[in-house]
Amino acid sequence: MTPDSSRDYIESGLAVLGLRAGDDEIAVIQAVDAIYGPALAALMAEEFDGIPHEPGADMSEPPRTESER
Amino acid sequence: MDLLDRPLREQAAAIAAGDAAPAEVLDAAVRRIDERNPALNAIVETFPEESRRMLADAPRGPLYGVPVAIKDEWPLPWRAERLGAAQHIGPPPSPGESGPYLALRDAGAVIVGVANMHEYGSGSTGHISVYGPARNPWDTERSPGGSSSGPAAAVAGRLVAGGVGADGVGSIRYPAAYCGLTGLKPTFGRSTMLGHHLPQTTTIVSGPLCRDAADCRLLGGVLFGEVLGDGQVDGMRIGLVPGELWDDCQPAVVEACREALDTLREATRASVEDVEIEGREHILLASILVGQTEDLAQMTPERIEALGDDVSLIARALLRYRLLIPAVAMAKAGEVRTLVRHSLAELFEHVDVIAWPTVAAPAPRLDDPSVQLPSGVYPADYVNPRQGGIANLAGVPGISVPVGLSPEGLPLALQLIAAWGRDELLLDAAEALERGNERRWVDAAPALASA
Repeated sequence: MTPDSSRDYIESGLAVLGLRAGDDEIAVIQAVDAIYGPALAALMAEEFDGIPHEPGADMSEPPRTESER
Repeated sequence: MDLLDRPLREQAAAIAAGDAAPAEVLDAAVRRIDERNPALNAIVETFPEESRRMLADAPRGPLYGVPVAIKDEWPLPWRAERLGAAQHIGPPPSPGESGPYLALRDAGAVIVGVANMHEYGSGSTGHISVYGPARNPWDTERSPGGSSSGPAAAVAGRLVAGGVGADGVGSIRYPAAYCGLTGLKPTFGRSTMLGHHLPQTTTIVSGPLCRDAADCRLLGGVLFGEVLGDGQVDGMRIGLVPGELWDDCQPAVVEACREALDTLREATRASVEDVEIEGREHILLASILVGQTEDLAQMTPERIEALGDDVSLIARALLRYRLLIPAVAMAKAGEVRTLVRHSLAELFEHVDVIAWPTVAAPAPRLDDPSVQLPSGVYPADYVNPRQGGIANLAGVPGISVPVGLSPEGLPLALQLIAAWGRDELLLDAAEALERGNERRWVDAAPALASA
């Protein structure tokens, strides 16, 4: 994403939510996205096949499968 | 030695035995805060009358008469939490009897002050706060870590011997590491969270920051509402995860952690083997996406738009950024979470703990909170979740243990992570390590606290 298109994405995305962002805020968002953007893109591109479902996940316990519930 | 310089359990024992008058201990703690806090900004509010009232009503519990500090993340009956911020984003907070308050009160402890924190809990350095940054007692130009910056700085500076923090993406363990303390992130749901402003959280836990594992066992037990038994660790199986968790750390960090592992192995007749965690390459981001968006449920665009200049620029920008994160990323972060939980469950069938450095570099400067690693220079906030986020993402317990000092004299720390519910094993292992190195690092104190 070029700086101009990045700015457009940020401004228009926020505008949909009724939010504005000043130049300083946009600069910070762009800087943060420059750091996290590659990892975000890699995560979104990942194909997660075969992960067992964890219905009603309880973070205080190990995962249980449907048959264990 | 001044009683305030002794560990939490020794303060409690001295008071219980009648060797120290709790009112005098409280007065001494208030004086200590008055003397040392200006250099640390660890404690953001004291309330001597309320503290004296707590003491007057205190039951003869395990912490009877012992002064402690609590992070600005918990409501007290006389004070609403501020989260280190000028404005609340969610519904306005109000004073109340939070779980940690009730636990401390019922244990007989005396809350002597509210401790600083990183604004909204959304940083690992503590350099942004409406109260100004908390400072690291080992070097007051350095970060004390975050978001539980104040509890860590207060304990390391010997203002109090115990602090209650909260850990959503490592927020107890990073400050413990930067300040040379022991910090326990409990198994999710095991410590009290009553009254927290994010009751729907699946990542945040309350937990203790203390000088050593025995004190964490005592204060942690109070927060758990149960006595945490101790045991001997023998024949422990330690898993090491090859790759960046070790390799992309500063050499002094790796050296100190390797030495600590050798000590732990000898002390517990442990075996060490390499293990792998599935989905590891996505843990950093997934832990941030899950942990840092839980509060969005209480926000509205209108509330974010209404935030004024008294809220930091970075917070205002990050709140907007979070609203732009694609839903597909959140869904995939949830998949990573499931994958990692299953992988850890399988892994903990074969090993008792997994270990790597708590943080990849010692405390960064407050005016430049970035760290130099073998792979480059990064904001500390970016790399810290790589080391700490997995415990919150999966719900498992983790502990940070001091294991050395850097060439600049800054604390270095090893992290141990265990299976769900095995918090006591982590405390046992930490104590075994302390014995193995003759308490060299848990008893080390910064010059500021030795004055």
